Amino acid sequence: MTLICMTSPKGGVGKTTLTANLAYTFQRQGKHVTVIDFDSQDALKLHFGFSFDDTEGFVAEGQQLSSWENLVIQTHNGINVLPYGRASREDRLAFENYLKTPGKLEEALFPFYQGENNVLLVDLPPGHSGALDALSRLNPIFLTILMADGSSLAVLPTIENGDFFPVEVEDNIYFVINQLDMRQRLSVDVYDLLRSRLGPLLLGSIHRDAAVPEALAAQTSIFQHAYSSSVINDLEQIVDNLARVTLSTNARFSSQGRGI
Amino acid sequence: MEKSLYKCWVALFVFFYSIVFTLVITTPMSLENQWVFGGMTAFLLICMGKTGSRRFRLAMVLLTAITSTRYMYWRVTETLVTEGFAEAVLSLGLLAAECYAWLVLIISFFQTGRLLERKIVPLPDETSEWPTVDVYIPTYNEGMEVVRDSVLAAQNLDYPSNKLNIYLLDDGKRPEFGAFASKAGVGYITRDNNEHAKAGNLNNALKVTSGELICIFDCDHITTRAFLQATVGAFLDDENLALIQTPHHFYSPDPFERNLASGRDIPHEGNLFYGAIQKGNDYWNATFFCGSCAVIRRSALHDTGGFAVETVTEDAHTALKLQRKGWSTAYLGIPLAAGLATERLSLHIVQRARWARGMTQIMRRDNPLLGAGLTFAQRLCYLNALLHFQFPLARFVFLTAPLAYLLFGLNIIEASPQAIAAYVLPHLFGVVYTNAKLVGRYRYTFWNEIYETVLTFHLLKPTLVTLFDPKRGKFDVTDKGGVLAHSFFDFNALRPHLFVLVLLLAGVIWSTFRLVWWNSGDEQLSVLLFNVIWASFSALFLLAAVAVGSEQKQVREYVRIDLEVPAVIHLEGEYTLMTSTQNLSMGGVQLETPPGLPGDAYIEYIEMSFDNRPMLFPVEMVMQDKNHIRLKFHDLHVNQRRELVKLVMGRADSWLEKGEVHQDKPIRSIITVVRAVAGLFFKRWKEHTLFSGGAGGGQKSRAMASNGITSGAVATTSKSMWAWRALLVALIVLGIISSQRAWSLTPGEGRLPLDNQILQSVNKECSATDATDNDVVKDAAT
Repeated sequence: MTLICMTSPKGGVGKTTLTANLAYTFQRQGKHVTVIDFDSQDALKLHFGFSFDDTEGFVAEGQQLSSWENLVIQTHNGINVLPYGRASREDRLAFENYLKTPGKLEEALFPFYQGENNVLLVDLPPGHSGALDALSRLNPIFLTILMADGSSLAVLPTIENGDFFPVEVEDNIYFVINQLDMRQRLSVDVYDLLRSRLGPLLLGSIHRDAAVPEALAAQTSIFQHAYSSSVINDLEQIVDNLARVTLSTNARFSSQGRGI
Repeated sequence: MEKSLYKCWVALFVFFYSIVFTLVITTPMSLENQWVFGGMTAFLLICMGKTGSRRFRLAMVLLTAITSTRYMYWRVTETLVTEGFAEAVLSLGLLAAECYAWLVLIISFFQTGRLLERKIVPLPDETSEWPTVDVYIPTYNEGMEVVRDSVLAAQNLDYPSNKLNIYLLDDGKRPEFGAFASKAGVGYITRDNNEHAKAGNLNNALKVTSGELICIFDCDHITTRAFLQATVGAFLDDENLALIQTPHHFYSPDPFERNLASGRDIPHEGNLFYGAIQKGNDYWNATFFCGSCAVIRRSALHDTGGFAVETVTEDAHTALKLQRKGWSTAYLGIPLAAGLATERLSLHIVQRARWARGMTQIMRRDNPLLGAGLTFAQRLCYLNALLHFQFPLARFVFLTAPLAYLLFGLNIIEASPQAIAAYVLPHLFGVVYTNAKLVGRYRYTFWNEIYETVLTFHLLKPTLVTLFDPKRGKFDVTDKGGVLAHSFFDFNALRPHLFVLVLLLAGVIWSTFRLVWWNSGDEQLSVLLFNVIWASFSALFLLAAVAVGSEQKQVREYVRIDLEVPAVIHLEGEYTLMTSTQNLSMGGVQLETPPGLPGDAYIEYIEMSFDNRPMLFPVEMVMQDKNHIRLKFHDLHVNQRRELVKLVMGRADSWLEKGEVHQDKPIRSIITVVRAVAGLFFKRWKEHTLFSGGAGGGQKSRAMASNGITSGAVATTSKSMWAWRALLVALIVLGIISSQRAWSLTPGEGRLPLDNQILQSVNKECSATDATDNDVVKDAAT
């Protein structure tokens, strides 16, 4: 079982794009991938060929259903997408309450990540959110996206203090660096600092590459748009590392389960 | 107890061996018996040579010592010419040269009889026990290109940073070197005079630094990161150790490798010294210091007052002084650093002239046979090194000896050619075969002769002058790191070789004339044949020397390693492509062309990871096709260059011999000599062999950028090429004509009056080199 939550203490770090690219990477490795968008910007679907005018989504419709399997939209790529969808203010508030109810979200999402071959990627909104707290109950792997710049460095202590994540998930927090620009002296220095500070928790870094926004503009995946881009290599490395940490996390949980 | 028993056995053995030795060398034999004796020794040697046992190698040495000494005994007692002044003098001269060669042979048997294969002594786990080390990199006038990587490589040494200090000792006092040192983060030491050259420079640094051990690298020697790990442990193990020397390895071709068609198929010129002689020295605790790639204990240097300044070879002399004080020295035969070879023949000559001068100075001023503190074995080992550099006179005699008969009809050995053959052949066979078995992995048969022939004329003066006046001579710095835009013939350096070649040729022609038209008989023909064979060997070595001076164009060679690691191409406009490297050098990198690379793409940077840390290298396109991209590095930052040095030249196994070393086979070896000479006449074939890498096989280094040859250069090379071809054809034609004359004429019929004019002119020509005699051809038959 693989459940990965993409988070970031601040916005604009390319989290949604990275979620989509990781989904494509997992899928290329033969996984059955589902992505779910908890960000009200509802931008994840754009990476999968949806039009912005598509209104379907789980926020408005999912609260009444015990299983969300009927809400899943399968794209022609074979990736299952659960878009945020169009939601009124009331829907959103109701959804916040829904998230606070124990057991509900677990039941709704469980089918998407249980089993060997299933991967569920969760795109969380930047900063704190009710979704983050709710998902923490599912014991996911949190992948925190940073950029090699001053502001990412500034927010890093809030994570390290334990202010950002609930305390029970702190063993499952990992990091990636996005849009790394080796030409910039500052970003190389920050990168070196982050590497030494995060150590093995840093699962990889992704080059800044003009081909990534181009792929989005062309409404296609980076794999099709620029198949020799270094970003692909970076993504594969991160996915390999995620598979590794998932294995060890699952092993830990199952051994705890036996202990009880 | 056991030790004294062993000593008794050795003494007993030596006693019996001396009896046998004396008996065998002094027993007179008929010619037939001598042939039988020679055949038997040869058979015995071959039988023993077929086994790999070390005991049998020793037996071979003892047997060869007998046959060689028997030959010398015969020469001294029976073949000296006493009649006629010129003949007597020349005869004595040849004998003296042979005695010298015999002495060197016997001592070198002693020196290389047992090789010590020393192992690395590991350092203790606790780094606080490790001694502090100062690394000295002395420089005088070498370019930044040469020095830079050596300094950066020293910084990569695996050693605790608080125990390692690196100093650039700049006798050139160049501000840009100081700037570089501070940028790289190493110490920079200069002084206000240049007294005593390199030794003075090192001594000055000794005063201002304080490390317990001193590690010295010549400024072109790039060390691997493991150097100190491999060498320092020995000092903790042995309190009395003053010095550990490692081999000098060269990553650029020397003149032999570069200019000879077969130059890369033979062991490197230095292999004999670093592969065999130093290991033999180490066995007798007589390892020399070679000036670089060595670690020395500071307290030992204090004992001798620093590095020796009395001679121009401060290294060997320093070691000698240390050993006189009772310190021991060691040799670790693992190449842990590599440098630039002298590129050109003329530079090689300058370097060797300095060595020869310095060694002769030591012989005069601090002779290892005299003075206190050395064991007998140490005295012999040092003596042999000094004696070796006295080769020029002896080699000169051997090369020119047949001229005495060929040009002037003088017989300088009083024996029939058959008798000479009966004595000299077993001797030569023994020497060649035993040496091939003993040190054949390090030097092939006949190549020693070539190395000496190249130098002999130029080293005559420095050795002889220094022998009589050891104060003369200054320290010449060997230029390194140069390039050669186009091929040329180093006529200046080769003038004496060509002159002797012409004399030999004239001698062969003239003596053939003499034989055919003037005084023929059976005796005559065999003497002529004997001398012609001798002259052919001389000519072969001289031609090989000439081939060494036929300088092949040299583009800078970079060490290139085949390395496949991921790399990222950064294109203009923030595109990044993944690919992998194919090979890597200090100058550039070759990549696999990634699919989807636009044809007009402009590559700005290459990203490669070192120790998991990505680094960006600014690059410039050299060549791109659908499989490879070749890129040249722009100016690299010091940190980038240091990482690159570590990867390309700093790995611990960088210089380990990868292919197996072939054992010498004398017949195969002579083929390499012939190929080397043939390269002189067939230039294009030679260039093909050298640059295609076909024969060289497995060479790591390859020419980097091809260099356009100017049309003028083409014209000169082709002109000299035609001259050589014409000469070859003329030689063959002459050979045919003269031999046909000899067949067609019956003895007596062909006597013609002596052409005095020819004789006179030849005579004049030779007066420069040889003693003249008015009636040069008065009796050729004696």
